[in-house]
Amino acid sequence: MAPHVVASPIDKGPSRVIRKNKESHMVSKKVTLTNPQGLHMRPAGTFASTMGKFASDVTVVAGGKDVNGKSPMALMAAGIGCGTEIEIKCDGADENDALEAAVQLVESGIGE
Amino acid sequence: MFEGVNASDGIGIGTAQVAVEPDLSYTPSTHQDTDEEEIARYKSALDAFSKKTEVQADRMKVSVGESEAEIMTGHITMASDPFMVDEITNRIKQGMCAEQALDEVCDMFYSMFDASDEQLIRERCADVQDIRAGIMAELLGKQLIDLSVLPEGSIIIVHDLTPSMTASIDKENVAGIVTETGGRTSHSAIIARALEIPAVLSVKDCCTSIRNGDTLVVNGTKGEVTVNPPADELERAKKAAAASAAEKAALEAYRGKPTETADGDKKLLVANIGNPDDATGATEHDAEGVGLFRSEFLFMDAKELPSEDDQFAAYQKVALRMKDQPVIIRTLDVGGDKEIPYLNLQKEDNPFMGFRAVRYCLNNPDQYKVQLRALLRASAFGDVKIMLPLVTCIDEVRSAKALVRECMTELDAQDVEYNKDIEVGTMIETPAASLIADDLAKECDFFSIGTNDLIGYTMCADRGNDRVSYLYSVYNPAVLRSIKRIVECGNDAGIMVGMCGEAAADPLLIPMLISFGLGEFSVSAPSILRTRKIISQWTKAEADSLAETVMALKTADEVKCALAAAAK
Repeated sequence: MAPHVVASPIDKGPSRVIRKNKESHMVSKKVTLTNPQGLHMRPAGTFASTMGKFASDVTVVAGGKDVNGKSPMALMAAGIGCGTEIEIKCDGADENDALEAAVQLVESGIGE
Repeated sequence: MFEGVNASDGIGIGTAQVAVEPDLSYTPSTHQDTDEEEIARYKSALDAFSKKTEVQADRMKVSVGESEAEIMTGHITMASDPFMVDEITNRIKQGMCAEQALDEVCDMFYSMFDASDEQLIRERCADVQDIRAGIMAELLGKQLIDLSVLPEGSIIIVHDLTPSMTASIDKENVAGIVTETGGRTSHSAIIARALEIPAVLSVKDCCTSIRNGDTLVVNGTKGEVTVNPPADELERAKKAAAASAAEKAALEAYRGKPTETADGDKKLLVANIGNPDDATGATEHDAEGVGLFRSEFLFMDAKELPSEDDQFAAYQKVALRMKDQPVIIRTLDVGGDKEIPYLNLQKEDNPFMGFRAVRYCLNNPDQYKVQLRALLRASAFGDVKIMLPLVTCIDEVRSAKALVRECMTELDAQDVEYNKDIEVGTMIETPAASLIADDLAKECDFFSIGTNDLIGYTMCADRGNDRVSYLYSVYNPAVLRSIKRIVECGNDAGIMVGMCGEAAADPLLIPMLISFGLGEFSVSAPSILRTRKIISQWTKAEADSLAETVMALKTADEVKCALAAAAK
């Protein structure tokens, strides 16, 4: 599918600056979204609120754009359709747990 | 006392709730408090908005449905988006007042959604606007119009009752409706009658002259609104309300009885419905089927075209609920006063004479076939009939029937069941259709006279235009002759002729319809029993003799007077 145009505020990426330090290296994994109607209101909300429980920054890369993984609005606006491969990046103290939770959630169909 | 249009019978006594669109303007400025105080002000507005929205969502789950309620809970998710909250607090920290910060960030999200090339995502713009208005109202200490959380015994005072407002009305708490615009056949009136809420419409300046908390007596039968009546008058109104409830109880004698004239001529008495849930109301009021299921509500309540499966589910629900009784479903009647935003129809100078109803559908055959297939599939579950709106020439009937046949072939190929003998009929609601009714009758399985549009198009008078609405009357000889002709053409061809406009329930007109030979009366559910009573009071011979006199009269006033004098 065609890459989606996402307006400028999101292009800047997550609202917090990704820290690059010795303890935190940023982990990432690619998964395919299987929700039939894509990342619409309900799954976007579930994904963002699950990610909100972690201290790490969460970025979803879809169609070449970085999207704040804790923002349901940004996730929805990115228009990530069913079958899209997304890369989830987590960066912070609990990045491994966050990534595991994120991948599991997407693979399980985000409650749908 | 205020006078208006008597739009929905009954007497409602209660407290005025004036629903006025609040003024959400503010002066953009730097805030005067500390950043923390201003952020706290924003957060408490957000909290209040979320709490109210949650209450609305809970109520809607029960009153409207799960999926509508989910839109409301989605608003809470969106408004509490940490990214959005961050963006707003950052602006407040730069000195901006909370109102302006909210506005700017909502603008940002709006353009983000608006930039999407997917319709479904662009539709989120409307949600952003809802959230903006909701939080802004909290910040400014204003109330938005919310008809779902009114206290018991409320009388709604509003400029115009829009379809989206009516969706949230809780009829248990609403004792009456008063509006500034609309007539007996307006959307507000139709909804008020469906909900059985007394309503007086077109009351001039009611939103400004009636105040919140005023005690009101709304007489929807007479079209009168009394503000803060003295104690004795209030007492009389309460007695009158009780009497009107008693009359309703007396009509119960007609429940379960066949619908027939005094000399035993059987008629079909069916209901007009707007959504699948109304079918329950139809059976509760003892309807013998559905004479008009307006399918556009399925489209108007959605944010994108309802899928074949969604439509099928709605039609099947009605078919199953009505068991073996007939269910006439009108295909999409878009345009005119019924706007469906996602169809992106062009604005027209004269929408009532423009690209609407069957014209739109036949021009979008792929889209139309989705509806026709859904209707055919539902016909396996009951006596479903297909009705075409706004037909003006025979080609439209032929084209629509060709599409129905195409859909049948497709369903055959997929081994899907449907009624191979499904009836396809037309609304007769244009002078053109009336004039060629003899030819149309040969190509249709039934007629249903849509008097609301037939009167408007015949008299060239907009019922909503106060300056010409005096012309909009079924009693005009031109309209009566048209109706008579349509019924006769249908009967000559041996097809059923019904009427699904407001006139079918008009006590004065019913003897005329009996005389013309109308076979089916499709009325709003609450009018079923009264219509059955009136039909039972006339013999064909009596009706014929009245009709002979009336058809010789020259003016609408003479007709109305003669019918009123003869009324039983």
